[in-house]
Amino acid sequence: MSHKKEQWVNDVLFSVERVQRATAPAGFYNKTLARVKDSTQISKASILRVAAGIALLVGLNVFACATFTKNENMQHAQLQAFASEYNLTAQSDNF
Amino acid sequence: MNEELLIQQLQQGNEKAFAWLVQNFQDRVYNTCLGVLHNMEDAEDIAQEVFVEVHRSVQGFKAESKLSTWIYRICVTKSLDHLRGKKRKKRFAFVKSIFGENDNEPRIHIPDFVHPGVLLENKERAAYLFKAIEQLPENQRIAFTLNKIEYLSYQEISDATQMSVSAVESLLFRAKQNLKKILNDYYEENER
Repeated sequence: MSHKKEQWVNDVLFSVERVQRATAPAGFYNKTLARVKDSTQISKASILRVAAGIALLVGLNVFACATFTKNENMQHAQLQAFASEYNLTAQSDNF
Repeated sequence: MNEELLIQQLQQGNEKAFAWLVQNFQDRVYNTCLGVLHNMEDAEDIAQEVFVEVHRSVQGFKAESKLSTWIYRICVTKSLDHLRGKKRKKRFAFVKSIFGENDNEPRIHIPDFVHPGVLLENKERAAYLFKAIEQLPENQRIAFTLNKIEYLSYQEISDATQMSVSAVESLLFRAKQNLKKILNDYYEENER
């Protein structure tokens, strides 16, 4: 019984002896080439997407800075107008 | 074709050199992927990915190893990544089934794999062997496949897997011991 089992296990282990190499399916090269071309296109597209993202980010930052500076200037002008209306000076500020 | 010249031409983006490479390596790459993945569609898909990767990274290839070794290395990495991805998906599906999701989806039965190069008289027995190979740890599975299906020498496996030759020998020894254990269990299950 044990001998039979051992024989079977050995037969199974040796069943891949002299196995022939599997051949790639027909049209493998053409499919590979198409994928290579796709992958280069994808990488170009992704580079463009990343570049657009960066440009958008930079644009938003510039817009935010410009808006902030403009608001600050307006606030400063308003304060100056208020100060000149009531004859306020820097000294009275300190007081 | 001289390997040095081939690498040079590949690095220059020569399409003819790439075609030569694919035509001369496609069977080796496909056979290795098939040996590891046990699925023809997956093997074809991953083998194509291997060549896409070769095309993409050949610029950085410094020829410190043979071109074939480098390709086998990519092949092993890609196949293992694919296997891991499949395992993750299986685990996720299991978790989903615990929570009762997707219960209406039909469960697909995956047929037992037999390598197409196995001799006809050995096919039935080989199906048990491939089923047993699937239960081996990853590194043993890779070493066994490269040695028995792709006929790589210990030295070649050591170069492709970046392990020492003695580590490869020990992996193969353990793989055979584990396969014997698994096959013993199959025999006993079938006897009952």
